[in-house]
Amino acid sequence: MTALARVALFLVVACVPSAAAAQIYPRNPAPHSGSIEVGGGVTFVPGFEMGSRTADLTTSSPTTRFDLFTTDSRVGDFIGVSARVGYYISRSVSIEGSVRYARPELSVDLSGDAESAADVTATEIASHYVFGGSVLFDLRGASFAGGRGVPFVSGGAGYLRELHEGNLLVETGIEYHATAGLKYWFGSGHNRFGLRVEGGMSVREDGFDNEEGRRVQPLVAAGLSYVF
Amino acid sequence: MRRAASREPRSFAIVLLSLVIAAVVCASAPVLGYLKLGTRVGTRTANLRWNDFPIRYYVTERGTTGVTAQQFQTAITTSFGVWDAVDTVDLSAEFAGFTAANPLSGDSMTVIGYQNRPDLDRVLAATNFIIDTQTGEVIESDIFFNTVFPWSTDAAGVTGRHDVQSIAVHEIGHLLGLGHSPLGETEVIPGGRRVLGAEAVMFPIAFAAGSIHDRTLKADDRAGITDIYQTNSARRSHGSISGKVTKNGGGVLGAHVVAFSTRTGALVGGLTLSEDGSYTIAGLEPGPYVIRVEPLDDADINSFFDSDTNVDIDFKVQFHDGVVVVPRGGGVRDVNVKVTAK
Repeated sequence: MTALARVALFLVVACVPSAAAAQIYPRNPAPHSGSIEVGGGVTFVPGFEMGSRTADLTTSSPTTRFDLFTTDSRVGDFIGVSARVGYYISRSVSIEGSVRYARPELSVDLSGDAESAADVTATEIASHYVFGGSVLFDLRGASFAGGRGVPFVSGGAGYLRELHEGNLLVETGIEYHATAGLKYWFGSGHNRFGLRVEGGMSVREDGFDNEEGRRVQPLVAAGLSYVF
Repeated sequence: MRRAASREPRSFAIVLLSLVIAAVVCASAPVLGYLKLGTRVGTRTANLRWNDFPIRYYVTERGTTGVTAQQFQTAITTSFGVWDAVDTVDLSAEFAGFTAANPLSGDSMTVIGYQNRPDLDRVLAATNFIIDTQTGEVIESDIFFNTVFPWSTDAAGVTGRHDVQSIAVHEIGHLLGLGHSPLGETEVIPGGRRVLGAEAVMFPIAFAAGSIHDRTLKADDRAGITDIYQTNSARRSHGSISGKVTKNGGGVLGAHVVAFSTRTGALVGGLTLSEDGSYTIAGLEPGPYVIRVEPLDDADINSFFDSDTNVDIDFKVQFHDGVVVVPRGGGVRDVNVKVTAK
């Protein structure tokens, strides 16, 4: 090996750690405290049953009811669109506000009529909004692909606002959520685009739900982010 | 009017018409059906209602076999309280004392008591009015309980005896301006009808003697009384459903329309009241409902309409195909249902 080659090899070896460090910890990495992340995407929420009720009449017996017909209510699967903006209070922790909008279908199966009315499924299209706030923790210690991939966990709550068809009736409630996901950033500059996917659980209370109490649902979301 | 179970009902209008003869100045009201009683004033209908509260009522000083006058009065006062306790209405009543006067006396006193009326051997009790025919304001209303039947005020009811309070709650519903509700199912048996089930105290046919079910108001009764005497807050918090029932492009008169809340399980009924098949069901709590339409075939039509009304009962039971959402303080319109002939 010539002297020039040895010098070159030394430079390469010497520079490798430096170069690697530059990819993971750039001089002014993004995101950092004060960075803002904006994004949007879609959220899938599986449908759920809202319970059965029988339209029944009082009879002369204290223990027997006369069944007129039965209803089974449910909300179909729905996909909502969402927008969010986050503010990094440190390199790993950000607070985020978001809004989600969807148009779920509410349906009621009518069956078992005492006078043989034909079974019918009655439907309506509702509007569903969640105005939420979350705290995100980027798990930088578990990052991969040279720091491009960053897992995160998130938790928060939101104001649930659901409007029945024709906006005739507004029903409100609370939504809590806890998710885990992954951000994958493209580029290494100050301003970056990235992909974000997450999944978790959502707990809704009230809204258009017929059932009392809280309902736990899975949710899956995917979207794009831009940090600056 | 409340009829005994297993008896063919008589028309409420019969008793009212007799009152027209008795009342020289004030005429009485024809029965329009649905949940409210009314009187026609030209082309419009004035609903019967009291304007001055408390309603002062007297109780006859005579008891009957098994029920003293004091027991009877206690049951009547409790029955008024059942209606007064509906939190969406603004009304009150006050016991004014015992009287020797008879019900149906036209003496400007509201009198409730027993009478021996063997000529009305299928009528447990009946309510009569003297009203202002221009405004619908009730001036006097009397209720008689027919001593042809055995009565009881026992807390648990007595088999074979009609419960005074159950029947009184029904008749006081009339006194307050409610008509009969069609919210029940019956089957025809020799000599009349048997109630299979009912979800309104204002259903025209009583349960069998001994039943105390009708001491408690149902959603249909609460909606009806709310429609007449609603508080300002109920006006803002409750809503209505209206629409038309049609068959072959024409309106269906007398169709029984039922709104069922999929959230609370409340059943509230109404009737189409005009030739174009229009109906309105008011006094509903907000939320999603489904609508079912059936012919008026579970009681005598005269229990709801004048005998010359052309009620159509030739159609199949039908559900509306949409979820109907009742708003707070408003109404949802054009909830139309097309039915087909049997």
